[in-house]
Amino acid sequence: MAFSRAASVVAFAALLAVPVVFDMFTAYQLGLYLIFGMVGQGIALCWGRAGFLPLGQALFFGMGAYIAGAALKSADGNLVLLAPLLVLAIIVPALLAALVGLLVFNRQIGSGPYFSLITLALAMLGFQLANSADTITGGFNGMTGIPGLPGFDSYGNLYFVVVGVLAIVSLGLFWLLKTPFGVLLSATAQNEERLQFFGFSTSALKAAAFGISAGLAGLAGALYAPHQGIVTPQSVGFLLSAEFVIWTAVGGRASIAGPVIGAVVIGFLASELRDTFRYWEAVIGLIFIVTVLKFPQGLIGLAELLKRRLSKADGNTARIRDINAPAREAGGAPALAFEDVRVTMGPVRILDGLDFRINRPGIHAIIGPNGAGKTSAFNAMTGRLPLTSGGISWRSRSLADLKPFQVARTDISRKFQIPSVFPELSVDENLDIALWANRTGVSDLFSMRPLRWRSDLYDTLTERFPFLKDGGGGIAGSLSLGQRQMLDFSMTYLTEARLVLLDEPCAGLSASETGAMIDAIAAINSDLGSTAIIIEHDMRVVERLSDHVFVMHQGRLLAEGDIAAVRANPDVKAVYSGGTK
Amino acid sequence: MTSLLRVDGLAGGYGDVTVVRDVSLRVDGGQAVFLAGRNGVGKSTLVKLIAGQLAATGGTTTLDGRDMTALPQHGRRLHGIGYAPQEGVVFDDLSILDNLTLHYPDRDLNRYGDLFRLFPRIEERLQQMAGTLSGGEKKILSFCRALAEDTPLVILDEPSEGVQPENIDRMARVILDQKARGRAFLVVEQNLTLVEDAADHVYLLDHGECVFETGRSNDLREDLSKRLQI
Repeated sequence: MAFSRAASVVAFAALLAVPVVFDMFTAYQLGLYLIFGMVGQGIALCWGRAGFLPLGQALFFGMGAYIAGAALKSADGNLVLLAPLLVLAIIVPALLAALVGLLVFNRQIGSGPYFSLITLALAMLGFQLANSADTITGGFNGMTGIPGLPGFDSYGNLYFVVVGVLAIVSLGLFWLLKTPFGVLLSATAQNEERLQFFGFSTSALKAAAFGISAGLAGLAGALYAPHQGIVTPQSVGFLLSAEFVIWTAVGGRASIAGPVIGAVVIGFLASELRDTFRYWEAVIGLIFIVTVLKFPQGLIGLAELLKRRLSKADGNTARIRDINAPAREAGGAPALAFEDVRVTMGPVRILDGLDFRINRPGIHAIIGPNGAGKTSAFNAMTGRLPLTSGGISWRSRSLADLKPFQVARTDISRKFQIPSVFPELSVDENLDIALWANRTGVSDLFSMRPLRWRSDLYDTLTERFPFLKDGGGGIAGSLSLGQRQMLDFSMTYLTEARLVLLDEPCAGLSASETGAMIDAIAAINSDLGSTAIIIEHDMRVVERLSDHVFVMHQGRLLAEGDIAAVRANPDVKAVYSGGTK
Repeated sequence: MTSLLRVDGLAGGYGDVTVVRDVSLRVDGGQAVFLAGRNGVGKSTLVKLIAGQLAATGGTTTLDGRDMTALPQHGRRLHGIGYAPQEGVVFDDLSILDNLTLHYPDRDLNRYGDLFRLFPRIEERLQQMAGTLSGGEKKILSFCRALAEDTPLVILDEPSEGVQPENIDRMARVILDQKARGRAFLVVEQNLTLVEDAADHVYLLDHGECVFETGRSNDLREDLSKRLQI
């Protein structure tokens, strides 16, 4: 942290010294590349953090440039008129992008490739519009004669404005990525579906990130117009969009400084080579290929390597958690009903008239042979499997047609069969996300306070599973499968949901770890007074935890009752006996 | 007698983190060797190193006298190391039929005859997409695929995870049957019932090292249970 801070201060001091050390023309050139770098910072927010790649960012850059150009021309130096118009250069692209993002991302998880292609198409459309709307944009020749910002000379002190804006944007992004919003963006890239099961609308998160990135592009465009004095359709087109992506990739798509470094390095290199080497574009292409292949984290990745060598490892310092997370409401009595639920996929009947009810808290078990439909019942309940017919309701509310995040917001938490965590986030951040589930408003997402949240249950869980606290700074992906099971289990309960779905929480655990997990489930569920449904093959787990057992076979309920009753049931005996580890 | 699989001083892990340190083990033809140990001690990492999914940072792996150490995973498979991993076991977007036959030009299902008799649900659902199977069924599918191949050595990483007890018994039967025909197994397993039923030799791992080994005995389960409490 100290290393990064010192490097940032040195970098900005160096930027401010450029006009003195070199000359104003160099500063003018550098200013242009810094403006381009700001667009790259927005791309990095989407691509490096949230995991989706916008391919048409020049659309928003050009839009900001045209709006700013028109504003500067029409305001004629009147700052009162100019200021709100310049704000439009940021807001209009941001709102347009957020709208496009919502429309595309709402479709489904994994819509990234469609999104990239749509943004590409939009940039091409923008280019056509800029070319043809002569009266507004100046058509092919562009919008010319744009005056500079009042009081600033394009070839002089405007450079300092650019550096100042870049510093503010960089600090803003640094802050943003530290907030819960930033953590959730990273989580979206790593395991979007799991994040939805904590009640977060990932499409809204991604649309917001895209909106912010477009706003940054618009801001860069608003600086570009007075800097260049002309805005042409090329400022909106595909070629510049592709260059933005290349600069971001070369500099480092996962960092704040990377895209700026990429734009500056490639910009100056291209400027030098353009006049001296006929095939200069091939050299740039080669640099791009080598960087992507050898340094996927870009040039900034080399700096990171240097930083690791110079500074000692951070270690797993325990996070300070000194603020009580907002208390969850107790909620009413549980009432879950499956009514003649049928799910078919092609010729296969996955659920075939499943019908049961749960009306009291406690732990209920679903057992049955492999393929009986146990996990599918959870899937049907949580928006992962569309119902063919029948209905599922929880507290009198139909769960049919709800998306996973909407199901989670009805106070249902789910643990998957295969432990599902956010592998590149720290254990602490994984636990944070669970603590934030159904507890955060929009303002909390942009506050540092939720990073210090704790709850009594957090203390209980970290006592039971000490690695959650001792290794809180470690990356969740480096945990063993069993530890990931424990982390995932802890995250599922930290939400303090009224209905908890546990799909084989002991899978992959040794006999002794299974014992510890059973104790944890029994104690925590009892403390919270939750209703839990557990899918399990290990009869030791079932016997210990649940007094009511549902037996499924071939997509429907075969029997239910206490453990002794279902064991004595001849139908159950015929298909399933269960066992222990 | 030369062992089919010889692992000497094997070490490796993920990036800068060393998980497995100086592990040596032997697996003979017709033998089932099990790896036991608590979670996080490096069992799965060890089999990934042996199967070639991870590159070793030290030590050697030889199969039937041939050095495998420098070979990638597909090269080791061609030389006879079959591997059913713990995670990502099937192709979710392919049918069960494709999962079972995509690596056989003749697409012949007859090689699965015995396995289909033990696990009929797999044969019943050939046209179903593998992604719609439950976790336990995916494990069975992966088990069938690995067992039907003609590799002299099969590595299975937690084959019983999420599998109903009757099917675990059937897995043990298949392993015993193929052992009798000379096939070798290296199995990571937490389910002591399967270890008890099928293991000829057990290595216990802790902190990436082999800390104990034992052959078959009447008190194997009890012995391992005690040591796994460590």
